[in-house]
Amino acid sequence: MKSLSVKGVLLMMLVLLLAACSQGEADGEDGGSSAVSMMHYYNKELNEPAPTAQLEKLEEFKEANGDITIEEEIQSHDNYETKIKTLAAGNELPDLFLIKGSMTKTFSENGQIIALDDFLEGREDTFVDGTLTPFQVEDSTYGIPVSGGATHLIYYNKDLFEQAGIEEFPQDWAGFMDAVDTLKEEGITPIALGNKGKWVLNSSYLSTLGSRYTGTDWFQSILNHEGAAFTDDSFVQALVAIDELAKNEAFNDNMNSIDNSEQQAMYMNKEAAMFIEGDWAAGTITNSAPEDVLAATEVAIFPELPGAAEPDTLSGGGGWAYAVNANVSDEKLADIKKLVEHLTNQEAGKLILEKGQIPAVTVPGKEEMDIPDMTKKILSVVENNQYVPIYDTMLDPALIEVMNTNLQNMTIGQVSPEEAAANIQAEYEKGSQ
Amino acid sequence: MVGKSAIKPSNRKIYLYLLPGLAIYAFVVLIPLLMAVRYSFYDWSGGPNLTFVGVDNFRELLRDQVFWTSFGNNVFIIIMSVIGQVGIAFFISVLLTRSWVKFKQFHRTVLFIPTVLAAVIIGFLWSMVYNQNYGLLNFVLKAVGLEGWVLPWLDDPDIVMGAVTIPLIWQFIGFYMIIFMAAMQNIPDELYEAAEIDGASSWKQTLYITLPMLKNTFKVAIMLCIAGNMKVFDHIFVMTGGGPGNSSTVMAQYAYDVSFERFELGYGSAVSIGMLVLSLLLIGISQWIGRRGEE
Repeated sequence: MKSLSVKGVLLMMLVLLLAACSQGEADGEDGGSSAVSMMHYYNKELNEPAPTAQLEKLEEFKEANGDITIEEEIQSHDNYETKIKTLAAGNELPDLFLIKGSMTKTFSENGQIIALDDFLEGREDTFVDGTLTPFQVEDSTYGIPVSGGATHLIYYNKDLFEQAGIEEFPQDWAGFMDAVDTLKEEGITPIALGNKGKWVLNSSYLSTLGSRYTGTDWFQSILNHEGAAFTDDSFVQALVAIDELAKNEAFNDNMNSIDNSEQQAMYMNKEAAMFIEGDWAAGTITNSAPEDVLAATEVAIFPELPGAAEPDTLSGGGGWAYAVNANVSDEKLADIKKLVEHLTNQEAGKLILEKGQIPAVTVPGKEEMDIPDMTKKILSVVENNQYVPIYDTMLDPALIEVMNTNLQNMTIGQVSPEEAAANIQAEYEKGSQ
Repeated sequence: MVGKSAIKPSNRKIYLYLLPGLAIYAFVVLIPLLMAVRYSFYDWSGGPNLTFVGVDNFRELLRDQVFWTSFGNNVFIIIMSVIGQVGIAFFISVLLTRSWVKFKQFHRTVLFIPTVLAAVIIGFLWSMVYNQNYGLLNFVLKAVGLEGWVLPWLDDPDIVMGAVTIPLIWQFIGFYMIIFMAAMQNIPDELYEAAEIDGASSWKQTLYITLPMLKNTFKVAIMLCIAGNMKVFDHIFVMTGGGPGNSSTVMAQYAYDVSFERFELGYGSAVSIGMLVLSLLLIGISQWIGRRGEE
């Protein structure tokens, strides 16, 4: 009797366990239901310009289209990237999600996302030059970008510059290095850097410096494996420039244990005279900086570099973009197309600009718009200079990882620029086999 | 009576009792492990495209400088933890059995609290402690006039390993303390009484009674220590992310970087398998040393 009941319990547990397993599988395959599953990292509470604008547009769409249900899954920005990669590995991607340029190639080669050329039909011209490129593989576009700002901008505090006796932002590299020294003597950290996440030096520094020295043709040659190498003198020069900054103690000591939001905090606390980040940082400065810091903040880009191929370019063009799961049904695809259009048309772009970030689309009539001062300053810098590719949205993720780690190693003096270049090249050659 | 009592059930019944646990274990551990073994022979970036590459991943692993550096870091943590966690925990448990120590319950609870905290919380707490400008550690150093000792604790490649190991040791002292205290309670009081009559000091009692009686407990504790520290990840991930450069990268962090930063899931699986093999090897060695000591 006793043993019977024991067996009974065991049997029940097994059945439950198996049922739980098969339940999970059923959930994974419900491609037939009509709800559009969507995953993003937009968080109302953070008050970031582009995400807030997208959330408002999303609400608007839901109200206007009561028949389309959207199931949202919201992650924090950093978790989002991990989660989407994990879901991709398990082949369980949602219907609509955001990708970075560097994910495009892997996802499209694995047949997990579809070409969205018909999403763009008739409005391709509204996108700013260069914003679609990171999401294109062999002439097809796989992602519709949301924002398209710069990843390299120098935010500097002109009061602190004046306090150190620097009248205006330096016009050339030698002047810039002099300014660094002068600020240091004044007891001010010249540049606040938070490189714990390892991408800041790559996105906001190297992409611009690299393209300035090498020219854009070199990068095309790298992308297409046509002979250019990371050990080429011109690229090494860009690494040397960063190394020079690190060696001259232009950065704070704890640059590798704080992240980019902490570098902004240092700047806002007037501990540092500059920080270098993308246009997304403008929102934080506008919203959170003390009034005197905000009023004193000006925007610039790296000054002219000696021996550079291109004088005054800056990296930028494409951030995150919407991509669509390859397994969605046709009827769902129509709904998704409608939604993506609503989120990326010029109206949506206008809202992003109003909130203080630079959209991927051109916005007609922006001169009359009421936009934050900071955004105006950025717009004037961006409009007068040309975009060059952002390395870490275009290159292979494995290469980027090696690049980022080597950059960090360089800042702590463990590798020389030449060795870093050789390490990057070794990974590049491995990838091209 | 034979084989039918509830105290000594039949073998078949024992296996039956084990079945549910085993089923869950297989589902969450064994099957994923076998899948990782399989993936480690492929070039795989996630998704449906798998290319069989034989043992190429493992050949690369043997030559991979970063992997061996991170293994070195794991070994460093293990050595420090065996001394720190097991050693300090033993010392504290001995203290807590002394009659002159007051508020034993309180000490025990306070020492045990870090063990139940999530690793991520510990990581965040200590990155605040180590913060160069606002951190508690540098604040205290400045307050007592040791300005020269103020350092960017998590940024100097020479000291970062030490800095990330301290929180790990601190967190798990309580865990080993509980193990030792439980084991000490099993040592018969008569031994101590006899020693006292013979005039042995309490220090001698610890050395000649407690220590030998806890030999097996030590072996288990050291094995747990090795196994636990081979897979350490969360603390370091939160504090430094393996940086600066690769200075504080441990094997699990490297497996994560390879799999989810570089997207090389096949090679990432190979790194995990390498980790498993090395862990088993280290545990095997520690067991072997333990057994040789007995003979």
